[in-house]
Amino acid sequence: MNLFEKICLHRALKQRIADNHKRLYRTAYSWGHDPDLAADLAQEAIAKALTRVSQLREAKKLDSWLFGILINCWRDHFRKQRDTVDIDDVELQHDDTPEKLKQTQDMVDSVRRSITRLPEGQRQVVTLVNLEGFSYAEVAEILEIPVGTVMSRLSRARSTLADYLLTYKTNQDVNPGKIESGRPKLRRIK
Amino acid sequence: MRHEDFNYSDEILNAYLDDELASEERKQLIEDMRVDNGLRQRVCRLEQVRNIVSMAYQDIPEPRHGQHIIKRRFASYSNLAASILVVVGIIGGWFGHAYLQKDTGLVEMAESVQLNTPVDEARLWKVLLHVTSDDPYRLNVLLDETERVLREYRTKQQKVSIQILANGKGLNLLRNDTSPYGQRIAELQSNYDNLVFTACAKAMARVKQKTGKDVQLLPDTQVAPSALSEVLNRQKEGWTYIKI
Repeated sequence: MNLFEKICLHRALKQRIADNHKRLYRTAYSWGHDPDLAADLAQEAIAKALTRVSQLREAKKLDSWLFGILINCWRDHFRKQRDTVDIDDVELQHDDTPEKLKQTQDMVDSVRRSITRLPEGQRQVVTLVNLEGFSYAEVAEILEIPVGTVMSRLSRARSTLADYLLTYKTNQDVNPGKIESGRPKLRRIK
Repeated sequence: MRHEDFNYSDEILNAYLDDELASEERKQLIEDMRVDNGLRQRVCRLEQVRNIVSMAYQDIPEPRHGQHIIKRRFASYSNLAASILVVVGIIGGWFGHAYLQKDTGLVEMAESVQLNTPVDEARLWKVLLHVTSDDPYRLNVLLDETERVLREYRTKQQKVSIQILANGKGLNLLRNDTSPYGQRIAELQSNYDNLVFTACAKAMARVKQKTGKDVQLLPDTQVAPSALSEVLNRQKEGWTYIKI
């Protein structure tokens, strides 16, 4: 590859990295449900990717490489911030929902709360597969776990979500706080 | 692969929904679903979950704080990414800015360079020097070159505006307690009002987190909310960007 081709490739890769901002933000949001944290993590992942683009060996693996950086930013954040918050204190932001969309909005809130209650590993797998459309092999690469673990985590996650959400659909009223009644209060690392 | 008595695991059913099954397995599963109502219901249940999870994140909230910054930052990424290009060793020249081309080392040691403005002697040349290292050699070259450019522009009565932005380890350049360049920076600032030093607030917060103490900056140092947003804003405003 000559110099000119190299420069063009770098520019194209950097463009693709920048184009992934929204996906990174959405994924980070789905993991923590904190818009500010998600924005910081997405920004950090992009900044790191832009400076490390020369380390990317195969251009076709850019997406999984980029989300691998995001997961590392997420882990780094945990390492630095060991404080915890009550799961019930997590507020899901929804502004001015029109009346007619209330039912849908309730469901959206409920899904997000249910996702928040999943163990972190399951939450990450289900969002990477479901929201970002990564293949199992790519998720395995991003999270550095075997494909079998991806499949089992995904399976457990969807099964748990089905218990929460499809029950909700029939009852039309769910309070995830009540789902866990009788169990110790759930906490998550912020 | 045939699954006896349609005893498919949830893993296999999910793999079907996520298009991860080989075509033969997929075909077999579809056939089995035709005759097994229970199997169909299991797949439907998982598919419902899959769909509502996707639906729940189609419209997600913007960050609560610094929303405008994030938006602007996002809008600028593509420009930045498209224009940052030059890596050490492949910079061919400095497009006429001979001041930096002498035996300086500044351009040679730059990690990236982005030239936004055409070279026009009558126009104000705005340069952002972004320093992320506390390597004494780099910092010395940075200050030497900055001073040389400021001096030569003044001599030739040309306009230049230079901002030195520090984050990461580069923040040590501007910290009152760690910078060996306090005196020199003060002199530069008093001699040239077209030179500004800026520290990244995020880097300062990280230092505070690590040391438990507030970061004290050299006098007259400005603070930007984040180095990245500062770079993007400057880039948008047409500043030449050089990362040291």
